[in-house]
Amino acid sequence: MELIVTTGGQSRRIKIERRDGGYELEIEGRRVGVQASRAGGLLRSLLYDGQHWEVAVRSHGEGAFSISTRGRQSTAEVADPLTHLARESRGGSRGQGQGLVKALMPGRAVAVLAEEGAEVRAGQGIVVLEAMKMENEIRAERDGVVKRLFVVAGQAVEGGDPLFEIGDSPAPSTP
Amino acid sequence: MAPRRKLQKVLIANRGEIAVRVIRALRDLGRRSAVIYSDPDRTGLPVLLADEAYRIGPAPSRDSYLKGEAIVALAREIGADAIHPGYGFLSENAGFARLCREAGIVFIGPSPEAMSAMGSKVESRRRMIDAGVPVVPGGRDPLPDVDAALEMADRIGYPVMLKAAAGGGGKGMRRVASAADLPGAFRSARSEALASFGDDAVYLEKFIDRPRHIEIQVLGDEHGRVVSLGERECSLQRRHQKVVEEAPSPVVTPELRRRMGEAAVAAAATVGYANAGTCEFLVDEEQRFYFLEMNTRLQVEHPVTEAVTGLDLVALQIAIAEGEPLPDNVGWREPQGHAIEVRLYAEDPYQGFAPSPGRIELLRLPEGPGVRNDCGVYEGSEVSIHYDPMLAKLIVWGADREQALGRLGRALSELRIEGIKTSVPLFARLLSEPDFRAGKFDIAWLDRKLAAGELAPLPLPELDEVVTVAAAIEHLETSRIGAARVPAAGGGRRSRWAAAARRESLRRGGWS
Repeated sequence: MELIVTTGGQSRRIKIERRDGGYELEIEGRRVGVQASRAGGLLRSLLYDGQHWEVAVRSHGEGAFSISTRGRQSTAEVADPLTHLARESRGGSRGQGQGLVKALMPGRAVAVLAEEGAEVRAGQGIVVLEAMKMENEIRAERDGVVKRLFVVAGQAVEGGDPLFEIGDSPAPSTP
Repeated sequence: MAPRRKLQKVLIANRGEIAVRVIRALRDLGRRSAVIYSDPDRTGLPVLLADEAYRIGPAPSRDSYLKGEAIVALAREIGADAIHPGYGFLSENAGFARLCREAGIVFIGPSPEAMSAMGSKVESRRRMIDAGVPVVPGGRDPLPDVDAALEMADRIGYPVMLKAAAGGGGKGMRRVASAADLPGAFRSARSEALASFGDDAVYLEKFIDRPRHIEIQVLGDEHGRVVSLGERECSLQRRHQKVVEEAPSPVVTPELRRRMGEAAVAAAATVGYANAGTCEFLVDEEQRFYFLEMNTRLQVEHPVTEAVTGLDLVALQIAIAEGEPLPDNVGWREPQGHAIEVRLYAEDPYQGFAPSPGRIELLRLPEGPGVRNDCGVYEGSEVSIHYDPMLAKLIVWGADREQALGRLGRALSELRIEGIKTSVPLFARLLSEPDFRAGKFDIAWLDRKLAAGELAPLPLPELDEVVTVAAAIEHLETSRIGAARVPAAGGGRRSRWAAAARRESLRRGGWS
């Protein structure tokens, strides 16, 4: 089976087959044999290339995974070549500066730093959220205009609630 | 014999790991533990472990863990003899200690009078000077003019620090190296103070270059005996919040330990201190030390002292509160071995220490020689947004610092927390810092390193490939196209185990 796996900002085309109770993978022209076992809950035990890797895997559906091992947290997206192509042609995969920004955790909006319609740059603070006794500035992930603000100062939010949406700047009118 | 009051039941006015710590001490002693809980803490670890648990209010601290009157009323209602305040919340609130006293409930801590005396920066400084305890030279009184500033700087010696009386955050602060620079610095500090705080009053202190934060644990009983249990090195701080603590300090000699211990004992004795407390000092590179303040409670980092003294500080707190004299063997002993504590915060060290609440999906605590976990959470529990993000403390002990560092590395490699982000990767990274390993740091070292981006995770060349392999296998085994599940290790061995287990359970009539 052929898959496109995207992690660390790079997409790799790989082949994977089951073999002898394990797997054989072809990655960047190299063949590797991997033994994989569930080790309880999220944990997977991978034996490969003479090393053991204890890996925690969380699936977010549609081929999106959070994977952590040896203190490093990564994300990966897996797709068959056709799905990958379709995603690419839709323009921009998930990680690329989303327009709609949601609260990652419950908290309270203590300040709103931009108005609807304002031009903003990627990295600019839009909403200040207070959670766990700390204030966190939630920033625009891309350049554009503030299309919508979903919160006002003082409002409590739940994890997953939309905070604001950044849309495209209006195209400069040609004279 | 002095009258003794045995505390049969103690109400713990706290939550998280410290509530668990106190429950443990009570159970060791065969006493009954009762805890209060707020709504989100209903199934927290303290409730699960305590003998009794009582709802105190909704999530916000002011409506729950800070409701002093309600807590004292509850203690009376349930027949508790005493209240242990833990740290934070009401632990250093003299008014709460007084409420307890008036209600006939023993407050496990110092007297409200001692707390008040140490609680005021101005009063405690004055009393320390009277008791001969060294404080940072200088004065808190605003300086009327340049001549007064020159005179004081001359008296305490350069370099000095000018500070805005109304200040904070570095505004209006000026380091002055010599008398020639003072007049100019005085004028600009004043105008900056006026611009920032609307008040141009400035004062002057001795400038202490790259100090360390070293504190002395003291214990006092109700019979007037106060002892020092030695120091804790707490210089590794992020924005004034301790991150790693150890005992002993890598820079404290037996002679300095004795002198700092004597100063701390004098500080505590001068306010008639009974129970556990901590005197915080700044220590400069010439091993001069200056009293900062006294924390009139049990400290978060008390386990490192326990590890190198063999004492149970919470059990001793209870004994002191019962009117027992301190045992003769407590105090003035050199530390045995070396202990290091790391604080596990639900924060992402690589996203600006953003809080990371959520459900703990997996928790594996380290074990093995020299490892202690003081943990307030369990696998499946929710980390709430409402409280301090410290989840647990990992404490290691070794015969010397090198062994303790080795054990810390081993313990961190065993530790696994999934579902939330924690400060664990930062500790693993610290262990490969030569300055940390050599014990060469001051109170601003960690902030400097973090600001310079020098504590980013070390590269792991195989990472992307391992992640690719893990993701591909998971996808193959869970997507509809793939087969049902990941095969067991070693081919068919697992299925034979499973079959054997099934036969066994059928035979015994148990669950399969």
